[in-house]
Amino acid sequence: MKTAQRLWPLALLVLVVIDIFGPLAFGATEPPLSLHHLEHAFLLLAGGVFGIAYVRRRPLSYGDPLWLFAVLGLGTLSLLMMLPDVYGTVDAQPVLHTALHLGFVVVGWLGGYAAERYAPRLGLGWQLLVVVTGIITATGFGSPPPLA
Amino acid sequence: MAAPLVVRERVDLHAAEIGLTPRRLVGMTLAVGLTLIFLLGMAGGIMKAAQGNLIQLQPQTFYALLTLHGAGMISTVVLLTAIALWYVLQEQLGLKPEVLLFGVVAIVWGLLAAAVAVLIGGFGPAWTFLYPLPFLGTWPAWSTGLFFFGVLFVGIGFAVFCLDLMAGIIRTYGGVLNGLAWDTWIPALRRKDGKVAPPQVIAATMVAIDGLITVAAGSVLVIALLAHWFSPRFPIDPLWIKNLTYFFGHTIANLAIYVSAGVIYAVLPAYTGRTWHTNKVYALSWAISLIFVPWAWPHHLYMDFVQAPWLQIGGEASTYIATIPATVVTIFGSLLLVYRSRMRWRLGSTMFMAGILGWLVGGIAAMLDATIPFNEVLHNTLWVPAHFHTYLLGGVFLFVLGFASYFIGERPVEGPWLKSIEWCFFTGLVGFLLMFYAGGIEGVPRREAVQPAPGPILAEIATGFVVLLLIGLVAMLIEFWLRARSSAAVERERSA
Ligand code: HEM
Ligand SMILES: [Cu+2]
Repeated sequence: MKTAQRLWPLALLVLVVIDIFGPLAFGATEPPLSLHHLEHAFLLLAGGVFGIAYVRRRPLSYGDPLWLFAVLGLGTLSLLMMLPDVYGTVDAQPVLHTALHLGFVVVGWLGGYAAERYAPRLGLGWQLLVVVTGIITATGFGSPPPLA
Repeated sequence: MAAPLVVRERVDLHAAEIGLTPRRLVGMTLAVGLTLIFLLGMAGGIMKAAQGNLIQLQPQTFYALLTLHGAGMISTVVLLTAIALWYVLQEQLGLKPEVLLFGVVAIVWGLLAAAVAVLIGGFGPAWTFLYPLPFLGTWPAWSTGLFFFGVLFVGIGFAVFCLDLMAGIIRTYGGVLNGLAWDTWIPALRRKDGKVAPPQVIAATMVAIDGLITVAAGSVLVIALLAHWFSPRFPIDPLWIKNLTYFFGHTIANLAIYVSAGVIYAVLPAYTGRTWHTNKVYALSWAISLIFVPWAWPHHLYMDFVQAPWLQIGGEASTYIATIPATVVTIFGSLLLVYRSRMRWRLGSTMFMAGILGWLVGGIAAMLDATIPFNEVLHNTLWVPAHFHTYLLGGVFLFVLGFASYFIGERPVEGPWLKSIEWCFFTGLVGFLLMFYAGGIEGVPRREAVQPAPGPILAEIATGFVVLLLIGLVAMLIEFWLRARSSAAVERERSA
């Protein structure tokens, strides 16, 4: 039990790090758009896990409404970061792409953190938003019609 | 282990400083919202009069009004039901008015943006703004963008409501599963203090979760549309965005009904003197709705032959599964609550019971339409506005009026003035709805400025009923205003 509890975050961290630096290692290859959206949603989600875990180590407090507004702002920002135009710009440059991946983790972290600061366990609400937007973007955000 | 909670006081002080009490916020929102409903209802009456050839309207003006009416009504009803549910839960869940104020302001801003886009810009692709229509019309590009920003704001406002509700539920009941009363089924979830979520909290939890899912879909939708508006290079797959539009539009309108169910659970007992208790059946019915409500939207797309068959069949099945259990437990529950109780029949309770009837009738009419063989005949006829006006205008909106009456305070005795208001209002309402249904049966298409026969004659008759309905509504608003003034006077006296 104890070791499993320690192992999980570690495994997640390793995955995240591999994913963040993937573009540097593999160069300017571009996954299909749907997968790419999912990959970024994963980074957001993983960031969220750490953000939530971080808050839970401190005494909890019911926070300022500003935290709630931060959650909404970060949600919108994460979607803007998923615009294929942004991908097009960064995909050609592995360093930028890595920076974007780092950005997803940070935004995810902040979202989970802000949600938990507003109210303990509200981080789940943030993660729900991330999962749903991730799945929906993967179904066709920024994709042309199949026959076009 | 969870660390001890530190409750911060700053927020309360802040609210007190600006004098924002829950009652004030709700009173203000009701005033704004009910006025908007009246104005948008006038727009509805003008559309009917134009379809009945009683007045002349440019088609562009008709479609702009149609867009404003649809988007405006849905957003306003979402706002009004949300504020009602918030009010009945705020004390118990420790919700703060200044948080909701932000949500209310966001929705009102969104409505204003949409109104400017429509009234000044002439934006008119109907409230479902199906791609690519918003980008092809006669209206200027700014109005398209502004309208989408408006939708974004409405979504953000609703998200504030959902997130804050969720926070309050977690704070009070320890988690969303307890909010859904799954502890009635799963012993491991039971709380030491034996506290079980009452039905209105179950409804609120379901709404908060499905509301967030809906808003997430809506934000992808709006960002995609805004991206395309900003740069036409941003590609959009019409079928994808149509699915997403209905995911968002259908579900948010649908959720207004579930929000109202929570309000019924909380308010009806005040009139019957009996309370509603959570049991396993409630918990299960609402769990089913929670899971299936976000999957019912494909019933809007039966005519799209390229749609995947599993979505069509899944949509049909989900419509039934999502609707029946929660509707049945709520309607049975309220009948049991009223049966042989010493129900006090006042304006509020009358509205609630009439609304339950409207919900039932509209629900049945809707399920007929969501059934594929019927849909082949009824699709895009006036049957569609017939059924949704039955449960939105004749259901959800009546719950809002019932709540308003309860919120302001009933009269000890109701005189003939109130009875005549009710008669006027309900005659207008029923007549107006019947004309819609008649048009549907005759196959008159919806959303047409100029209708084939017998559309115009039905619209002409309907206009008369709309006038009655709106007179009844105005009279009711005046009644509310009079009561609010006298109860404010009472409060002033008490505090003096
Ligand atoms: C106050 C009385 C009302 C009147 C007189 C009225 C009238 C109308 C009329 C004439 C139409 C156009 C039907 C067509 O030919 O396609 C319409 C559409 C619509 N109404 Fe109402 N309505 C009223 C209340 C409401 C309420 C309370 C709601 C929602 C909460 C609502 C939501 C809608 C929607 C969503 C549409 C469809 C718009 C579209 O096709 O894009 N209405 N209404
Ligand atoms: Cu990437």
